[in-house]
Amino acid sequence: MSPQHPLCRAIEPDLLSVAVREAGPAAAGRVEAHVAGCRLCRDELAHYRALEGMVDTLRRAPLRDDER
Amino acid sequence: MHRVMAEDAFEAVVGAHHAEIRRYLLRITARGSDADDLSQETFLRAFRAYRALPPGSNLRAWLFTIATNLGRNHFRAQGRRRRAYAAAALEMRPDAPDRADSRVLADEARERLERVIIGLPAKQRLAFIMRKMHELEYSEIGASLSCSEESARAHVFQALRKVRRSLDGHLPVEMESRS
Repeated sequence: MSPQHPLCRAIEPDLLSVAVREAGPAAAGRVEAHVAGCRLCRDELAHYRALEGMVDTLRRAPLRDDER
Repeated sequence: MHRVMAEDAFEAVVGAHHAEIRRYLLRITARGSDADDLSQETFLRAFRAYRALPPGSNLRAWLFTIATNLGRNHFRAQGRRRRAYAAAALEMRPDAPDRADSRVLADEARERLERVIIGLPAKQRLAFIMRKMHELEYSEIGASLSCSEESARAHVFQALRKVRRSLDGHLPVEMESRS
């Protein structure tokens, strides 16, 4: 994502919704159309999806009971 | 007789929800002894209020609300000490482990993620943990944090942005070729 570009700034909330699997069809369509032509936002989506995967793993992991 | 029945019913509530509420409190405080104290207090308060609860209430969300309020009081009492400590601990971590073992890498990433989450501002941390670790609805998170459903979602998304920025360079993502 290019933080300077208005289109990238505008699509960011939808992009995040897609990454966390909460986007409706309209938002998903907007993101799909944008990332098709924007490599930086495509990379950003990949980062958020990777984070979502890490969060899923953390949710399923047993908790350590020690003091951290 | 009515009181005995209510106590029996409350025992079932404890049996059904205690483990998850304690896990939630452990996640938000990152300290087993605090989670024990706060979960005990959560169920004590719940017991006192249980008989006045309207029939059909969402017990799980109600218990999360009690636990969240106790957690917030706990954070206020602690001040900024824990967050400062968490941030300092994160700064002191080496950037990359020497060993290439994937399990070690996964553990490193998990520890880093946990530290980033515990370093979030209180509302974002609570909203993030309720949503991403316990899968509560935004309406339930809003009720727990005394804010709207939209604000609850905004807290979670702000948390996600901060976590993503804090983990830059540490997320298991393959970048596209730049050519």
